[in-house]
Amino acid sequence: MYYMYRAVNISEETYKQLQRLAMQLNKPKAQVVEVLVKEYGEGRKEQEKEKLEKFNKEMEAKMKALKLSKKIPFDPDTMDEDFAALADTDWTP
Amino acid sequence: MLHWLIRTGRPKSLMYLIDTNIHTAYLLQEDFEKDDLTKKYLALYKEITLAERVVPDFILGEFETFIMHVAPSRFQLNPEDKQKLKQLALDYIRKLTDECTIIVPEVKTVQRARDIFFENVHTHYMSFVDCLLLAAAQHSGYSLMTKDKKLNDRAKEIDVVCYEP
Repeated sequence: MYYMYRAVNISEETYKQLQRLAMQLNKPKAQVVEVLVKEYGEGRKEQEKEKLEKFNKEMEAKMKALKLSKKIPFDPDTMDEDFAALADTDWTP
Repeated sequence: MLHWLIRTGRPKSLMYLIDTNIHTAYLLQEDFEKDDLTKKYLALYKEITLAERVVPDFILGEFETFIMHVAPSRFQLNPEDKQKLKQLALDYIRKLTDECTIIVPEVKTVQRARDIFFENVHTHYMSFVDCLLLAAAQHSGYSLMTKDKKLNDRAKEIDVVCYEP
């Protein structure tokens, strides 16, 4: 379902190629764009998955190597309060 | 350049705006006692592809301040630990800025953040960074990922989608 229009700038050459494709396929240009974008997205999925695996592997090795000499009392729920360690302030929210 | 029209459907949020507490919990995961919910958040975070992780400039700034300045003082780290943490943070910041989606807020987003800030300043105080995060998520239709319960509650009040376990 389509309900919104948005302006997009593309080069003249890309537009000509799109027009050619639409003519050859006998489909509206919008439909050609939708299929191309969808296929491009699908193609990137595998690539993104590989990048994520590499990232996770590298970071996990680095984090394991960090090993501070003691456990720290970090709590992600109250992180904002930890900023008080920077300096005293008379501003109490 | 040609100007033409493309029809698009309702924006579906496939991008995740990541709060500082998630980045920090991720980086320090070997060094603090994690509750079950934190473990679930971290498991979700690890599944988000790098391109889908949205990193605003102000979150990078807050993260850097926390790791480099707050954590060493707050957790009384010795010089060796401080150095190790610094190196790890530098590697992580490099990777985030190289591989994730970096954004900067538009003027309208900052103005919206200001409105959220002043609407809440006397009732349930939020930092301006948190307000920017809400405004950015609302403006661009990103899902917000934060471990901060109060921030998740405010997000839901203004129809921002929260990515929670």
